[in-house]
This record gives sequence, structure tokens and C-alpha cells, in this order.
Amino acid sequence: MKKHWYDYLWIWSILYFSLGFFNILFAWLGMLDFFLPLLFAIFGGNKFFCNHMCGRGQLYMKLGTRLKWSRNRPTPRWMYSTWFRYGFLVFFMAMFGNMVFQTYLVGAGAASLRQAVQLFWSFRLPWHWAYSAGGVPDWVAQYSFGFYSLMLTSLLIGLVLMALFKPRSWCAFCPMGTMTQGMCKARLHIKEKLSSASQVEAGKTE
Amino acid sequence: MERKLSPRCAAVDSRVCVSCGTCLMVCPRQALSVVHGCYALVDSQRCIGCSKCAKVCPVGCISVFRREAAG
Repeated sequence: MKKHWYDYLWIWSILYFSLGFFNILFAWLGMLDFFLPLLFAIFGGNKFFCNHMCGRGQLYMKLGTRLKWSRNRPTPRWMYSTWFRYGFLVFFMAMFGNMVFQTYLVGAGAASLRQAVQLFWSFRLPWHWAYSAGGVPDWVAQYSFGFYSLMLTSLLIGLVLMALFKPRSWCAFCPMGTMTQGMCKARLHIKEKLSSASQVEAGKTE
Repeated sequence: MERKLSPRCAAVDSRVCVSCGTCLMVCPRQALSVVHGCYALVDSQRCIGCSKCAKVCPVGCISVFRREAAG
């Protein structure tokens, strides 16, 4: 099979989490993983990012199949049911919104910068070594801590699922995957409606 | 000349597929594609029924069947 440059993006995934360990401001680079799938879905009507460029998915495959860290058991059915997928998407976006609000509070001076990474939205891990105050506005640093927390939490959930079930069981309810698939389906639906309407219109004029 | 097809072939349940593309990564014949980002589709002419895609699919929506049985 011919290899492409994007087949090595699993290295980027490792690099991203390593860089964030030493300097939390690198967490901003993770925004690429947020925006690229959306851009592909909105403008291209495809899931090229999930299908070929998801470094995290590639990493799970490497660890799960090459290193055999996965039990390779079927993912529980409820994990890929529509209600759970969309429910998790709503929960994830609510947590993301909360993180953005925290950033706003810090920016407005209503809250102070918390130099910690919050795992699983509950456990606070000290992470102060990754940031020296004063370099950037506090809200920039707060967003970095919040975003890195979100990324690390989802990575760990995915790793646990990889070990227990299939290597890419996380993809069954990955919020970005659910959102972009929903967008692609809606886009296709609209396209089909428009083309059938134009066919009817063309039939009338004939 | 007509090419001889393998006795087995994969099929995707498009209602369950989450279009993650894991199957694309492992297919040795590039017999799978993700249609408009909605679901994966098997090119039955290319598929050799090796089951690699079915083994890695996180939602278990790929099954491999015998072509004769399907008619």
C-alpha cells in the first residue's frame, strides 16, 4: 500500500501531548484538530480528516494492532447508539463551552488563572511547570490549560477503550466524528432535495 | 476477459456505520470508500473478502458473506 505523508500523523499526536507537558501554550495547536474536520465537512462534504488525518485514531491503531495492546473485543452496542453518540456530543460541547466561559472570566479579571490540568472534568492535576506567568495574557494560558485538559481526557478515554475493546472504539462516539458525520448527512440531504426540486422544475418547463 | 471474483465479499451496514474510515486503513485492495462522509461502501469487484475491515471496525457494521449464498 502506498504511504502518504498523512499516514504518519500519529507522530504528531505523540508530539502534541509531549509539547504540552513542557509548555502548555502548545495546546493551542490542538485547535487544528477541531477546525480541520469541520472545514472538510462544511466545504468538502466529507470526513477526510477522520478517514486519513486523525493522528489519534492512527495512534490507537498502532498501539492496538501493532503492539497488540487491544483485546479486540466488540464495542458495546450502546456506545454507538444514536442517543449516546449525540448525547456525548452535547455533553462534550457543554464542557467545551464551560471551558471557554472560564477563559472569559480570567480575561475579564473575574477569576484567576488556574495552572492545572483537569482530567475527566473532575480531577485537578498540578501542571504549573508548563507555564511561566507573564509571557502571554492570562486568558491565553487559561485556554491552553482548559483545551489541553479536554484533549488529554479524550485521549485517555480512547486509550482505555482501545485496551478493552477495538483499537478505534473511541471513534464510535468521538464528538468530532459524530458532528462531522451529521453535517455530511445534512449536506447530502439538502443537495438531494435541491437536485430533485430542480428536476421537477425542469419537468414542468418541458 | 472476465476477472474471477473471490468467493467471499464484505458488506457494510450503512445505518450503523460511523464513517470513521478505520476500514480504509487496513484494506489491502483499496476496496472501501466513505461515501460523502456518511458511510463506508465496499467495491464488490475489488473486495477479496479477507475480513481485515470487519476485524477492526469499531462498531461491527462490516460482515463478510459468501458470494454464492448471496446469489
